[in-house]
Amino acid sequence: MDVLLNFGLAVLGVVVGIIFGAIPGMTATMAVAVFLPLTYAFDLVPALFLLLGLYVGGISGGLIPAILINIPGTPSSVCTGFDGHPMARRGEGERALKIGITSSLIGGLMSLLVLALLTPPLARLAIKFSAVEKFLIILFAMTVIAALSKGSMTKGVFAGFLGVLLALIGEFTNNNKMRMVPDMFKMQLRGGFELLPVLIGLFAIAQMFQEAEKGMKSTNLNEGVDVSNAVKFSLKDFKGQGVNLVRSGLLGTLMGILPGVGGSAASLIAYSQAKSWSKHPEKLGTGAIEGLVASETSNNGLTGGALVPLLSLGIPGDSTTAVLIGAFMLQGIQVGPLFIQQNPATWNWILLALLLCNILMFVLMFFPIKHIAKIVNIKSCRLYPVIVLMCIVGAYAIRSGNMFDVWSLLIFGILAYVFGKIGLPTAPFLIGFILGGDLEKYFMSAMNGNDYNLLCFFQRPIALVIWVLIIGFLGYAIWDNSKGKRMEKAGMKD
Amino acid sequence: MKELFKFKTMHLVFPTIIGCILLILGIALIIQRYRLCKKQGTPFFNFKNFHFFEPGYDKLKLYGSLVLFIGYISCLEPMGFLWASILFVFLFNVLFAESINLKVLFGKAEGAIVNAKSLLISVAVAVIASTFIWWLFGIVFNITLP
Repeated sequence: MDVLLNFGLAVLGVVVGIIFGAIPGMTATMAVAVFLPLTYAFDLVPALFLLLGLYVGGISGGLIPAILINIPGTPSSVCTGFDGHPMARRGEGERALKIGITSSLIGGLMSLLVLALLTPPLARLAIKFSAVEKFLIILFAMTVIAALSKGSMTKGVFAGFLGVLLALIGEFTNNNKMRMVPDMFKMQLRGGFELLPVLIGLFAIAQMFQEAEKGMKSTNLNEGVDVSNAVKFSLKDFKGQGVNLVRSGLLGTLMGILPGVGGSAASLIAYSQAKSWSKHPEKLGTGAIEGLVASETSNNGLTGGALVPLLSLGIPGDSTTAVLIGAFMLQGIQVGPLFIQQNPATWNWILLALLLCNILMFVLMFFPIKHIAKIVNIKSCRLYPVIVLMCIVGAYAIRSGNMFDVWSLLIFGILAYVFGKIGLPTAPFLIGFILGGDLEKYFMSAMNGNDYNLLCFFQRPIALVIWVLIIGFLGYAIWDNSKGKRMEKAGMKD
Repeated sequence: MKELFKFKTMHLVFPTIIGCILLILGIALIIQRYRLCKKQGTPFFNFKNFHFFEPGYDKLKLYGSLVLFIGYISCLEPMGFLWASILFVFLFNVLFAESINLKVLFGKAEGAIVNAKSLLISVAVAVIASTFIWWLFGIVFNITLP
């Protein structure tokens, strides 16, 4: 019975995820956030089957509109349309979709392998960490967010630390004193803002406001191209793509492991690498299989990669895995170095769920692709009201009936909408918000255990290694920033 | 250093550190903008060319969704989850799918005020979605609803 339930939830997750991914303006993160309340009724394992299904389906579904109407369904499919759409225009729509789906499966399976092999040793290493190293590793995660916030490094760090500050609101448990709380909200904000309303607000409500601003315009397949089948798909299409597949899959997985880096970066980097290594770089962008394979392998490679830091260090790899933390918290399970050791069965279920969801994604998309492609015709104006309904249920029920959490949902929705307007990235903010409490806990604990001597952060060998990594990433960020500016200058001169 | 971590004030240590970091980053952002503006020869405060909203944005849908959201939350407890949801999901549908063309209603455009088919779909979505979610969460899963 349990097996059937898990399987059924995985199917539901993948199907709903594909729908969310295929409708431009809706994302995998949004799908996971909106469906989180449904997991209140389940144990952790069935909940994970549902949520991982949504994750894999959501990332994969984005390729459909990217190829057919040249609008990426999710940010992670940003480069899929570069070559997928020209292929569709010359009557190879079905072939392009099937190449994309197969590449997605390969990327997903590669990242699963990396997840299975890399997480346990990383967790074993992290068990040896004291409060000092735990504090530094979170600081390292924040540095990586900064280093990879291309063109807006300072804004990325600012958003991350703003998230940390908001996470500190409420009662400090060491001396039971309140901070940053107006008197009138002392009761409601004793434990700070609840994570679930914050993340639903950031990723679902803000998106609704953005779409409302644009007029809730629906995409229409009839205005684009048909899923024609002039050239049939064959596995021979992947001839000569072996290196591209491995490189893009590994790049996507690596991007997933780095905190705060989204699928769009994975897709862009893999695509640019495919172009750099290609024998015919001039053909990329005109309907070359190489570009399509690179983008789709890398964005699904992200899925397993983003789970590596989450399950070994407790640090989410991207915004969707940050939302997944909510599912673990709901079940009272702490993700971090001890997770695999204390929950070996759950760890095995996660691997199995990810494998099943990738296979289901392939089966549910590959064979009925002609029918699945019609998803892009679903009107988002009919879906958003239902999403609002589910968001309200989720926010209200998190503390068994608290209207303040529903208002928090709206507050963070507006906040994320304003962030979008002023160019502050939301993902670093959320990661800062999730890690803020731990950052303070480990800082205070490290200071307390070392006679309030700041030098404790520079004395242990592992701590020094983390400092080297922090400085290395900062150096890279500065070099990358100045290189970008030089290239911009050169471009302007040309 | 120990003085900073006194029992009475230790809850303020970390927020103060983060506040200082944010202040430094804020200043860095201002300096970056100042340098950029100087290089491009544009004013630091460029209100004339600053557009918070997209050009030609849909005012009705943006502000309407905000008003409906606030109304929905406010009505949840007095009306109860099911009735408030049916009403507001319907109103959201009418607003987003333009079942009732408010521009025509207020004389700002010409055409039919009511799109009967769209209105019917709005009613169906509101009733079916609200009742299903109320039944699934409230009855089957026994989750607290407003």
